[in-house]
Amino acid sequence: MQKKIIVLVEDNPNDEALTLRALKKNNIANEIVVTRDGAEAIDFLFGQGTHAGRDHNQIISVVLLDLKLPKVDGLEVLKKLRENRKTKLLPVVVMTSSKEEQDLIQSYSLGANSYIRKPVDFTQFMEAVRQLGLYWLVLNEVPPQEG
Amino acid sequence: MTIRAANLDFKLLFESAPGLFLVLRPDPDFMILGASDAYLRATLTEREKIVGRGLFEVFPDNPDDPHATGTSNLRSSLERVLATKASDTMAVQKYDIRRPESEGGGFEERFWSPVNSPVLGANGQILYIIHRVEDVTEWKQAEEALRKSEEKYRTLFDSIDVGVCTIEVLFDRNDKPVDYRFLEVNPSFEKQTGIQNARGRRMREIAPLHEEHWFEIYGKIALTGEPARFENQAAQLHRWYDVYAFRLGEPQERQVAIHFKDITERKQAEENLKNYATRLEAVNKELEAFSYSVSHDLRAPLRHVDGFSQILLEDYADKLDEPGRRYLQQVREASQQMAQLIDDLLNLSRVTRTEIRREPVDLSQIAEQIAEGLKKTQSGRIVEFMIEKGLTTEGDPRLLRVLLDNLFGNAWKYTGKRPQARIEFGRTMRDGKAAYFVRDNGAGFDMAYAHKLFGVFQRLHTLSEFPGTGIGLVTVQRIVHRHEGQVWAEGAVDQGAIFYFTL
Repeated sequence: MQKKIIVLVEDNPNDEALTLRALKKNNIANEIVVTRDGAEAIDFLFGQGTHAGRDHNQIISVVLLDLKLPKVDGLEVLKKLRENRKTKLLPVVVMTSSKEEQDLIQSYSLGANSYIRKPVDFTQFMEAVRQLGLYWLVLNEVPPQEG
Repeated sequence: MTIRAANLDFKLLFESAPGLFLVLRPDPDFMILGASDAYLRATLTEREKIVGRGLFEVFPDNPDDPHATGTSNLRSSLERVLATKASDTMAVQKYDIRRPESEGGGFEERFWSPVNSPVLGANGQILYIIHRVEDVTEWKQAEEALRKSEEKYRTLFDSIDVGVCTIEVLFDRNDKPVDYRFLEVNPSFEKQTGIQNARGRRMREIAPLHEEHWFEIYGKIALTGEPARFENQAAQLHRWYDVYAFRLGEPQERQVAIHFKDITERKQAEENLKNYATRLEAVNKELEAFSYSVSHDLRAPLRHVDGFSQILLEDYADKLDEPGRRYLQQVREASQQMAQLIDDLLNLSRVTRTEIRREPVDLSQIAEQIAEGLKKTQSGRIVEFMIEKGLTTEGDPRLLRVLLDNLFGNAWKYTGKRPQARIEFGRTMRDGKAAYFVRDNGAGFDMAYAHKLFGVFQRLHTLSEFPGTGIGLVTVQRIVHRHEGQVWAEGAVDQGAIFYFTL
């Protein structure tokens, strides 16, 4: 049976903690893989480098992608994902604090499926994660992925 | 056979002779004894009217000419003839003649070249004086006209503030231009070039480092006759010039006339302007980068403060007493406030930075959309919106939306305590100009503090009464000003407020 996992690409440990809590509090039981910089994210998603030989039976339901990442920037990661046949169809939700229009435009231009601004208000954040979970994990049909 | 001289009619001959002759009696009043027809014609007189009368009685000076020297000079010459019994030639003399009454009267200007000769009798005494003249009036007047014209052009030449000079281009054996010599320069030349006493000197001698292109250009003009207009730098003179040059005279003379103006100042200003523009761009880019990092980096820690406070509240509620929970709540509220502040400040800076677009904008439509949005945020409230339809204007649609967002947002906020709130948007006339207004029947404000309304972080209510950051109206003001308009407000405590703006 294929596992449905969520990939969280987030460099800030505080944001990571808050996001994980929000997901848990909203009863999202899927395994969450956290990669903490752009390079690691790419390694995991392609199953190479530090994550070579990861279990390809995992189906990635959604990638929650932060934009400001060390080593390889969020948009770069997105670009690489879309360039590769294996990862082109992966649902990617950009989650970032940036309100800058250029980030929004760039993200969509590079092929993000969705763009969410992380609100400062934690209650709102919880609500956003709840809706996110409901949509991407339950409602949305995951595209086929190669094992 | 001798020709019998006595058969000639000398009177007729004399009177018809093609010359201007007057015969005078050699005594102090110089009575006129005879005159040739030509003379009479030239002086506009008749024989019967002048013969037998004194010379100066017939031909007085022009009374309107205070500098008339005619009679005195002529008299002196005649007296010299009497004294020396020799011819006396006079210099060109102005001697105006009388115009007959039948032709209008008055005097006419005339110039003459007179010679006075004595006719001597057998005993050597003077029998007659012949006064012979040539009418040189036309010649004299032409000369005067030429002189005036020359003077006019010289004044013109000397007074123009553009440098003008004529040069002779010097070529080597292969007809390559190597130097040029100044022939004529106008007074402005020195001012424009800083070169003194240029006349007769060569350019290479004055400025050995003068650029090649100057010699090439002038050489080309001298050879081809094609005029040229250009701007160029003369580094050794530390100046920039706007030059127009053309060939002068015959091709083989190799002379070129040059009009030039020192444009160093203008070039400098252009250079400065370019530098400022570059610096401005750089500063703007820096500002953009700064705003971007603010927008991202400041929010993250705030989110963490808020987040962990909430987690504390949730997970450790039982371990906290009432004040403890309240403190955490205050921590959360403070971080919310700060987040709002960051957003507002960023908006404000964006208003100043962005390029303003000019498009037709439907304000009514935007107002309706904002009203709908507001109603959704608090569906329980009863708010009546009265929005005038068809209000269109020219401006930047994004900025105008932010403007209405702020004004409506305020109206919504400050009518929060009214059971039946009413918010109006329309257009009226103020001081002959169309002014838009947003009116509400909310808490209003004291007009005494009206001047503080648009100050940054200035508020007229406490946070506990109404939330807010005190930046909204500043943003409104900036947007209005960028549209070259005015914004002002009227209100009274507890009686609502009206915000007007023109664009």
